Amino acid sequence: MSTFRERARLQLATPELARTIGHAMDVRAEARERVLDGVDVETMRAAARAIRAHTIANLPQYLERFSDAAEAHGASVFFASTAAEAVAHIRRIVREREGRLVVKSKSMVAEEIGLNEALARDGVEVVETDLGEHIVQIANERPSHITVPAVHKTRAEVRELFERVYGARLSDDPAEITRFARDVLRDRFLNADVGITGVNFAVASTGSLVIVTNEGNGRMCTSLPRVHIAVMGMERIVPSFRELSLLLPLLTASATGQRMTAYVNVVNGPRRTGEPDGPEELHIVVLDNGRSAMLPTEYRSVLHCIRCGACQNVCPVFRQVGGHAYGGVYGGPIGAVLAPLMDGFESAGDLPQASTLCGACSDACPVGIPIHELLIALRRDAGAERASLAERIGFALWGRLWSSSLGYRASVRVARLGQRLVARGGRIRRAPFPLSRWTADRDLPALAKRSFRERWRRAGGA
Amino acid sequence: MERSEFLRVLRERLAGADAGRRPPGAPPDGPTALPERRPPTHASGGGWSPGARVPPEDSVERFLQALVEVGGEARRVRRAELADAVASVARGAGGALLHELGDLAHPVKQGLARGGCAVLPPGDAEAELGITSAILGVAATGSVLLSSAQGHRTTALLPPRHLVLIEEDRLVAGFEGLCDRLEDLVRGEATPPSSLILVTGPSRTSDIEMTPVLGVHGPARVIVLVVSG
Repeated sequence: MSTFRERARLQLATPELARTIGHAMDVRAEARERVLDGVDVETMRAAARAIRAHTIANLPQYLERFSDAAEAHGASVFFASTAAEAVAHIRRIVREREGRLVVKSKSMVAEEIGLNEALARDGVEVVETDLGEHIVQIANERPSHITVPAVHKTRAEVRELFERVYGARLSDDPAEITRFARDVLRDRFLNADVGITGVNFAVASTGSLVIVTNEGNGRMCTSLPRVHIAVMGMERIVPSFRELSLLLPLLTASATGQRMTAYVNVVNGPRRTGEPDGPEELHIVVLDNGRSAMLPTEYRSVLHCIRCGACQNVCPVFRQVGGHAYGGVYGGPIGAVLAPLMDGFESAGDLPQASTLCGACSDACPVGIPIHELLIALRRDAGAERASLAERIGFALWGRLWSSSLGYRASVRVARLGQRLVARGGRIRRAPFPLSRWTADRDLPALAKRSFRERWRRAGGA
Repeated sequence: MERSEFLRVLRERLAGADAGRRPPGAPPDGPTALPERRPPTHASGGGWSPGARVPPEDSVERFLQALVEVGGEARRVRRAELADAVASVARGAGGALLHELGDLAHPVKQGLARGGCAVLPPGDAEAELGITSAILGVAATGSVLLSSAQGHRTTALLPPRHLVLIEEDRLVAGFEGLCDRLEDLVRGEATPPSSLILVTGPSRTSDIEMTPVLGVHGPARVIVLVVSG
């Protein structure tokens, strides 16, 4: 199991990466500002936060209403408490329908439960149809950003990838590469047996699924194959379309800086009698997978997230290292909160450290999740769980020492003497262990020659 | 897992909420009320009453402008000019797919004949033009709402050119009006249309180095004719 530090170092070894990601994030952030110019964002955010808090606090009742309404409209709804249950259910559907070719529209939850790998083991061909997801899929990688999955790839890398995988001859022109991908994927859409999509919002009052895409692949996946399977985290619920009139524009503005995305699909069930096309079956999978464990904790508000990726766009750490450094499905600030809560501190306990705590993520969050404060709380919890005996004793002694003014002053005096050996020009570039762990990545400012208290006394202060 | 068991776990965990360990700034854990008023957004109807079905004259202008801003094409035509407008869009297109167009079907077919474009059987993947009629349009965003009850979904999907007809009085000012209508269309209906889709301009991506490209899986050209009179 690698650490964030190791993965980040690997990413930083490619300097173009930070440039590519930084550029993309700037484009996104600027577009967002343009679209929200002249709008009272704070009022929107306060209302959105209230809607999300209300929905999550009343989740059982809304989930019940949603699944009743969806089933009344002909869908079948399955509740999965674990990833394994969800995967087994979907495999069963695909197997029983003799599905051989699955077209998929972007779903972070499907990534979370490892759906593609499981279906592939059954001999089912799964094709990602969002261009960015497709690029990542044929490169055998994971998406590195919630809404721009292939943000870490340059156009030349994408061209080489398509040439290698499909034997095509292409230029670096994104339009030409996109046209080629359109042709490849068009054929897949027309021949697929099953379409699998994520869900952006599930409307409790009507049982409707709302699926947002720009390319139109969501519409293809929910129209052409004879079976549609939708996978959703249980927190995707909105009470009614009324709330959607705020949350949907907020999502598109925050995610891509668009006033509205090109396609908003509202799925109300399988094809009706009298309708000429559309899937014959609609299966909805509602997933817990560790989410309910957050309900009784101070981390509940992370379930308010609408997966827009705005926190990733503004995060100074994410911009440097990219999504892969986080090692899981969800990267960036929200991923650094989610991963330890879902996967445990053992594997992801170091992610909350991957933050400068500047708070840009909290400022950008359209539903007002106090992300950086959750990161601080997680550091506390991770420390309680992960710290070694030596660390515990060290910090306990330090705490004891500095809780008396005598101990504090004495230790500062000792440190001032000691730093003479290592400080140059007011900075310490390389300190002995354990401070070497700090100075490996950055300088430590040296202590001043005289403390404030000493100068105050000398200047005749009281 | 059984739904009842799934929900029981949620209820139990919500009841066990420990409000004492809440970080500052986090919303309260108890049941909270939905906001009574919807705050205006960038997709609201501006100064108009958000739910207004028959907007003032300038909402047509606003619709046309919003659609052009996202790379669509939009024009206002009188009913009498419809056939000519369709002909100019259809010219050069190798075959068209049609939705149920009601009383607009006649002028549309006239226009296709004038433009030298044949009507193809529904679902034909080789068609180069799809013609649909919208049940609602949103002025603030330049969006049109299509229903699966109107015909094949593929009509608006497969051809590279998509022509949408919308009658002027079907425009609402903003997203509030759209969402209220969606709630009405689906709620309480035993068999609502299985699919409603809101289309805002051409299919697009910027997945490669954030370079905008139109026409990924859906049409690269979206032309909306707002029909008056």
